[in-house]
Amino acid sequence: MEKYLVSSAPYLRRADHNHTTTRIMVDLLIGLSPVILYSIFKNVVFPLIKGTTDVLGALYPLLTLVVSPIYSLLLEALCLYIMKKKDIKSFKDLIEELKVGYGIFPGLFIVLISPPQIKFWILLLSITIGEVVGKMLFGGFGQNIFNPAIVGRAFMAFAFSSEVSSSYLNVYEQTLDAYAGATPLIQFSTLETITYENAVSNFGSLLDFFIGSVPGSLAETSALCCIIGYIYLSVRKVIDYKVPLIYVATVFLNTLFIGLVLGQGIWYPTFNILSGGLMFGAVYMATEPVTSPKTNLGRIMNAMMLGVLTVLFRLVGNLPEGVATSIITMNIFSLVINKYCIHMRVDGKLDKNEVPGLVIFLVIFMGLFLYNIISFL
Amino acid sequence: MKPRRLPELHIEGYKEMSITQGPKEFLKPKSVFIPLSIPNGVVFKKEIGDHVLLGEAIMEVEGRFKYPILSPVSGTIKGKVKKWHPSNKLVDMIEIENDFKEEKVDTFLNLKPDEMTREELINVMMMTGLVGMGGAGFPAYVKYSTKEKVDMVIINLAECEPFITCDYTCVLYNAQELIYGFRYLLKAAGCNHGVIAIKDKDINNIVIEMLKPLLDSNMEIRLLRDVYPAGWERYTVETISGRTYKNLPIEAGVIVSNASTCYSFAETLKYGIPPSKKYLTITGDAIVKPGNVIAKIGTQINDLIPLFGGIKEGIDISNINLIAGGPMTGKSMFFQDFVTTHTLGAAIFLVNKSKGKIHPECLGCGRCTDYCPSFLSPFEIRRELKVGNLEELKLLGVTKCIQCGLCSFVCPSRIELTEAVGKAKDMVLKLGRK
Repeated sequence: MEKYLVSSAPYLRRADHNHTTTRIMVDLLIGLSPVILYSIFKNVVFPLIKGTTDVLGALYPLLTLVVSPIYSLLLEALCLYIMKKKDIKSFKDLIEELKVGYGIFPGLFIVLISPPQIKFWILLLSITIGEVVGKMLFGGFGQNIFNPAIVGRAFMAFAFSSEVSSSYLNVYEQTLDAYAGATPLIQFSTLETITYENAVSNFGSLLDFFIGSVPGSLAETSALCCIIGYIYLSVRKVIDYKVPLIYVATVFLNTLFIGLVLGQGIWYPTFNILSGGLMFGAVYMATEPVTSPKTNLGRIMNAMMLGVLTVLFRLVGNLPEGVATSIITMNIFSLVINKYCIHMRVDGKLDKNEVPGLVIFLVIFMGLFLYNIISFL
Repeated sequence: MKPRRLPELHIEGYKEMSITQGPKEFLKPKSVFIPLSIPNGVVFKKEIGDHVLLGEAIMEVEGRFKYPILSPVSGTIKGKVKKWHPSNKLVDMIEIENDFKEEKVDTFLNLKPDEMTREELINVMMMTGLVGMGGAGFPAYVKYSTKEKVDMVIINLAECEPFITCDYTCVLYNAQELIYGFRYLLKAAGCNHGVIAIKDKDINNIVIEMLKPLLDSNMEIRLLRDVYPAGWERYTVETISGRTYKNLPIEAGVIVSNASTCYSFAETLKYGIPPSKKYLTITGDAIVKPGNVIAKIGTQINDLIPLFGGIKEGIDISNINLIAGGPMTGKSMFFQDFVTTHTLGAAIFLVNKSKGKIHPECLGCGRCTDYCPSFLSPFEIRRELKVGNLEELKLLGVTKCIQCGLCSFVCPSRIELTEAVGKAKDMVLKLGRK
C-alpha cells in the first residue's frame, strides 16, 4: 500500500499562507518606502529643481541608495559561499540560501542612516564591517547579537568622524549660509547658551523638523515619514507598536524635565524628539527583532532604557547623536532581559528570586532618568 | 485567584465542507479491533475463541484507575493482530469478528436514572468504561466521584480544532439525548449548575436554537469566542467560571465533559447501549465529499473512506497528510487502515501546502511566545534543546506544554517549534522519572 506523507503537527501553518518571514521583510521595505522616497526627493529631486549646477553631486545619494543594498547582498553571497562550501554545490543552492538571508538590509539601513554626501569608499567599508563583522561572523541571519547596520554605522562614526560630520549637507544645502555646515544636533551640542533662536531658528521652525527639510542623514530627517511607516508596520504587526511609542515618550518626558531645569519651554523636548535619528531609530531600528528582547515585558523594558540612554549620550555625554549608541548598548543586555522575562512569564508572577532583577532595572532606569535631569542643575 | 488572560487566535475553521450532508452510518463492520497499548497493562476477562456480547467486558485496565474495556459488537474473539493505531504506531490489537446480531448485555437494560442515586450513576459510568471522548480519554467516573464540592459542570462543545465537526453533528442529530445525558451528569456530580460551552460562530446558531428550548432550568448556554484553543479544558473553565486552578478543573469546583461523552452516557441510560459508537469526521481538501459518519469504535478508517467518495483523483498520495485527529494536534499516519478509538474524532486528508525546502532562521519576532497559551517561550526552548541544557529546560516550564501547535502555526519561518518543545518535554519528564 502506498504511504501517506508523514510530517509533524500542526498541519496548518500560517507560513504556508503568505505569513512568512519573507513577507515580513517585504512589509519592512514597504514601511521604509516613505522615508526612502522622501530622502530621494529631498536630496536628489529638490536640488535639481532648484537648479543646482552640481548635477553629479545631486545624483550621488541616489547612486549610493542603489549600490549599497546590492553590495551588501554580494558580500552575503561571498560569505555564504565561504562558510557553507559543503552545502552549496550549485548556483541554485546559493540563490536559495540568499533568499532566506535577507542580505540587502544591512547595506540599505547603513546608507539610510549615513550622511548623504559620504565618500563612497567609506560607505562601502562601513557596509563591509556591518555585513561581515556584524552579521555573517555570528553565523548569518538570525544569529547576530548586534544590529549589523548599527555596527557598520558606529564604525563609520568613530573611524571617520570628521568625514562624517562634514558630509551631512546635500548639494542644495551646501549653498545655504544659514546651515553653517552642520546638522541641528551637531550645532546644538556646541551651543554655549541654549535658546529657541540658537537651536531651531537657523533651520526654520519645528514644523520643518517634523516634515524633515533640515540637514541630516539620508533618510532620518523626516518625522512625518517615519510616523507613516510606523503606522503601516504596526498595522501589519511587523513591529511591536509599543516600542517606538515608549522610546519616544521616555525621551520626551526626560527632556521635558531637563527643559524645565534649564528654563526652556515645550520646544525643548519637541526639538529633541524631532531631531537627529530618534524617530527613525525608534521605528525601524529599536524594533529590529533579531537583536531585541522577544517578550512583551522585555520589549517595554528595552524601550524605556533606550530612552534614558539616548538622552544620556546625547545631552549629558555631548555626543551629537545618541540613538545608535544606545541601541547597540541595549543589544548587549537583550539576552539578559530576554532570559529574565521568559522565566517570569512562565509562572505569571514575581518570584522571590526575580524581585532583585526588577529592582535593579528600576534603580538603573530611575537613576539614569534623574541623573540626566540633575546634571543640568 | 483571577486567571491570567490566555493568549488566543482566530483560526479559519474549514468546517462548512463537512456539514453540507447529513451523517452517514457504518455500524456493521466485519470486525473491530481493540488496542492493547495501554501503559499500565490490562487483565483479560475473555479468551481467544470466546463469544462476547455488545457491552461485555473483554479486559480491564490496570493501574490507579481501573475500568473495563467493552466489546463494541457482539461476536467472536479471533485473536491478536498487529494494526495501526492513531498514534501512527503498529500495535497489538484484539480482533472481534462481528456476528451482526447486536446482542447486548442485559446489565444496563431498563435503567431508571430518575430513581438512581449519585453513586449508582457513577457506578454505571465505571461499569461501561466511559472515558472522555474529547481526546484525553480520562475515565469519567474518576472525575465524577470527587469528594470536592462541584458547583459547575461544563459540556465542552467548543470543538476548536479546524475541520472537525463530529461533536457538532452529534449534538445536531441528538439534541434531546445530549440534554438527557447532561441531566444525569449533573446528578452524578451532585451539582445544580450546568453550562453548555459553545463557540460564537455562524454555523453554531442552528445548534444553539435547537438546544435552547430543551434546556432544564438549571442549565444554560454560554458562548466562547471563536478562537483557538477555546476548547482546551483550562481555557473553557477559566473563561466560563472566572476561576483558575493548578492541575485539575475540580480545584475550581468544575467538571468538564465532552459532548460526545455526554451523548454516550445518555445512550446507556436511555437505551441500555454501552459506549460502542462514535461520530467521526472524514474531511479535508483531498476528499471528494467530506462529511460525518457514526461508526463502531474499532472500525478501520479505510472502510469508511468509500462512503465519502474516496480520495480526489489526480492527487499524489505521497503529497497528502492523513491526520488522525485535528490538524493542530493530530498525528499524520502512514497508512489509511488505522483503527478508530474512543478518543479519535476525525480523519483528515490534507494536501501538503509547504513550499520550498529551506526556511529562514528564527527571526526573533516573538510570536511563538506571544501566542503560547501556557506562557512558554518556544524559541528559547528550541535553543536550549540544541545545547541539551536540561536544567534550564525545566526552568523554562516545558512540562506545561499542551502541544496545541500554535507556536508552529504562527511561526513565519516555519520552524518545527511544537515538535522541539514536545521533545524537550519528553526529555525532562524522562529525567524526572529516573
